[in-house]
Amino acid sequence: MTYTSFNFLLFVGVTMAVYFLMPKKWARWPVLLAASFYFYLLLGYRYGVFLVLTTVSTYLAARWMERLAKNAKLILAQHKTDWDKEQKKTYKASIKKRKGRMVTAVLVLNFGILVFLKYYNLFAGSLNDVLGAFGIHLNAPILRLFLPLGISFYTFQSMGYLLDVYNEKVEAEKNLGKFALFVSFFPQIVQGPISIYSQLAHQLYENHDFDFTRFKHACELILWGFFKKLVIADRALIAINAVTGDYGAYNGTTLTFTVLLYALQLYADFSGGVDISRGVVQIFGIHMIDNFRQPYFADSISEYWHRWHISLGEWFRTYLFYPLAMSKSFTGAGKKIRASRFGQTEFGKHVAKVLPTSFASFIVFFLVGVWHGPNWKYVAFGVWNGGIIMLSVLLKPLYAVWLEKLKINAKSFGFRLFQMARTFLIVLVGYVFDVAPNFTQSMKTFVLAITNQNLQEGITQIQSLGLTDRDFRVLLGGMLVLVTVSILREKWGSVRLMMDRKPFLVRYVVIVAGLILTLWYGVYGPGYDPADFVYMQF
Amino acid sequence: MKVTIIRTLKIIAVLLPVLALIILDPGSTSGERNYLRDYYREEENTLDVVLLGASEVFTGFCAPKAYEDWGFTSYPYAISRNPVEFYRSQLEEIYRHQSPQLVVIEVTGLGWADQRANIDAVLRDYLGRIPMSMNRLRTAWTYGDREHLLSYFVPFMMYHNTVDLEEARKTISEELFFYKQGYSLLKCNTSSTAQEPFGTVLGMEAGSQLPLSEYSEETIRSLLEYCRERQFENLLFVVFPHRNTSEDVIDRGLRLRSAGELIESYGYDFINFDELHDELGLDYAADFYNDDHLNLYGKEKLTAYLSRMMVEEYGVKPTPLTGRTLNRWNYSQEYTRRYYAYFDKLYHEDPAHNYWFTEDEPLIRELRLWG
Repeated sequence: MTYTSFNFLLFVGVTMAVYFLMPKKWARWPVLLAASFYFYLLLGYRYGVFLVLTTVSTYLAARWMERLAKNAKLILAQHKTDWDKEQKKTYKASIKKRKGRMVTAVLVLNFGILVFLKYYNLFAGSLNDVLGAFGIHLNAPILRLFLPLGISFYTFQSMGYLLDVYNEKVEAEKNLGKFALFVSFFPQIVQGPISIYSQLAHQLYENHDFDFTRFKHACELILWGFFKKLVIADRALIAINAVTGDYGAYNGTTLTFTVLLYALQLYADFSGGVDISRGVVQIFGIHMIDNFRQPYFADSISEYWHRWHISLGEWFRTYLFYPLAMSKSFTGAGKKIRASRFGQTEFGKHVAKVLPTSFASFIVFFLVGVWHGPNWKYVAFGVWNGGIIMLSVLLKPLYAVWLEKLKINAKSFGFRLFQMARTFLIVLVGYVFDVAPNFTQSMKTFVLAITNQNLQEGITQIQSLGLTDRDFRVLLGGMLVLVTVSILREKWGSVRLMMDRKPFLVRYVVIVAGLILTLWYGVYGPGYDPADFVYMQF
Repeated sequence: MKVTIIRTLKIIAVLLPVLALIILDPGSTSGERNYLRDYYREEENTLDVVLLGASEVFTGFCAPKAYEDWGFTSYPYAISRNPVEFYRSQLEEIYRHQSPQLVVIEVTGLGWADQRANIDAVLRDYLGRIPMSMNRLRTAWTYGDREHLLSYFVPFMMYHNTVDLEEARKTISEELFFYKQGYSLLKCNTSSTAQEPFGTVLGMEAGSQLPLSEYSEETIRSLLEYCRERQFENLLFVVFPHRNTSEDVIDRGLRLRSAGELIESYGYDFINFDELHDELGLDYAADFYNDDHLNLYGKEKLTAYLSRMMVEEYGVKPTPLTGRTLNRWNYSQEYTRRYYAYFDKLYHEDPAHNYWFTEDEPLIRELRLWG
């Protein structure tokens, strides 16, 4: 049951009916819990084991830590007068240590499952290859492993909660059912966005009444998601799959076109899926953060990652980047540089100041790359993005000097356009790693893109990728619509709110046109394999 | 209250064009679209004979001509590439709407060595043209792709990516025209003036036969068991005439002899018109538009022969018609006569040109005004 299937819409409709028909005096959140588990088990009952394991282990660990913290507070209160400062400090440290061990154990358990299922075969295969080169035949077994759908998303989400409880930012949820709902909530479990407990939980557990205006906005958002996914993303995927299925058969022009098409397809697919999720939750009175904010309008790669997959960026920033950047080892390294001779220069002072954060960024993006999948090309993706960000932070003063020397107005529209184009190019380089089957092919793509451009041959090849003239026209039209809406959002914020202020006739035409275009040009039905959302595989 | 009403109206206004789009059936070919649909427009229990089969049937038998010459009413319940395995479902449809004195079942499809045609495409053609019923649901469930079950009932889901706006406009216009007309003038009648060149016509060795394929035997046995179970007695199994110009087709004919034996073993009559070309007076050059289908002239001959057989040997008696039904059949008879005359005239003016006629709105309008 994919998000763009009729069955899913029916499922949402039934859940909605049951939810809002529940008497007000009863809690309604169990309806969402039942629907979520039903949805997840329908995707594959085997996956349920891992979901339950994550839910229960996190719930118990959080409750235990909270109980420990509360007991500790009581004991400290009891010994307020008879313990000195040192004794209190030692006691607090021991509590923190115990909590830390619990958190570590649960993090290791849950991330361990994720890492094992995702990367064991890569490691085993690589180990066999490396040792085999030295004549050692280890023959580490390659296992038939399945990756539970959405495991990354619910693991990140629940581990974020666990860390928030550890840091005493939130109270542990006492009700197992409520917590299970937070972990398994069906509109977001498959591909996010990753929510923060403090932002999502109370919305999930409150009873919400049906609101027509909210329902209308939700339907508009769902329709927009369907349009992006079915009309643009799934159509573009036909051509992309044709190329990736026979990568060596295409010249540099075709490969360049494919990467550009991939930029469109990936954004439409991912943001389309998230819009459907956000629309569905909005029906139930819940607000989820938007995971995308016109990422291709970013003027730097750093800003791009504040606009793309925002919730993942937030998660890594909160739970990895800041702890790393503010850790003793990282800040200590900065201090050492500051104390050195190099650190006495202007540039050296700058490097000393920004090295902890820039290096932390590099590590974060390295891990983001690794998270994408068990393939060296993803590592390259992470290194590329992290490296660019790190360098751009380190070289910022030099950059400012060049701008001044070249007398470039950094605030001008032309320069902004240049920055956007430059950023898009950097992003495209990253996409080359994404779309190629492996690291070697991605390197070949770079070479071919530079040395093997042949427009005539490229056009012939592109015309044989499974798309008709009609498809190309639809893609172009869809892209224009997407760009227009993106510009409107960039300038005026919510397009839906903007539409609300328009006369009924204008809104009517836009909505009906959207419905008809999606139904007419959507890639669905017999003869098409339903294309899974790209990030479902994570 | 006022707000609720306004909101409801707004929702209906939004959904209406969408529903209209979904109801649109863009996948139909203009010529065949109405064949099965028009069967259900015949008034209930007014058909004396129903013929069941594939394209051989609607190109080989002319119901209005049979009415003109013999007075009985009939209708070919047929679609292109109709596989015999759908006949159970289609017999149920036939008997749900009519009580024919005789059902003629064309079984050429049994003669192939393996399953032919794209069953799913034919299933969609079939299910897209019959009214909603348990039989329709059951047929979709039994033969269809269960992952895309809805698409058998909402054709738009299947064909939306091939819809041509101009075709869609024509479709809507024709649907409205035929809806207003209320019944079929030609009674699932299509033909051509063409006489395609052909190779040497081969004869089948007397007495020889080939066994049916496993698939065909299973299919026909299942059908015969079903007919026996339902106590259908008034069935006549036939093979319409073909021009046998290849070994494959000869082998098909030899298998059909085995099919005939099997059918007769169940107590039903079987007539193979491929063995009666001389009796029919068929001219291979003049009466076939291709090896598998009779043209305008061959159709006249087969209709005449088969109609006489139905009346004289199978006791079909014309049911007295009155009122609107009588007027419609008389009009249909006259219209078909004009249709034949018109195409015969065209053919004689330009024998090299292939004139293909179906129940087509512009031509209907023209012929009503003509003569």
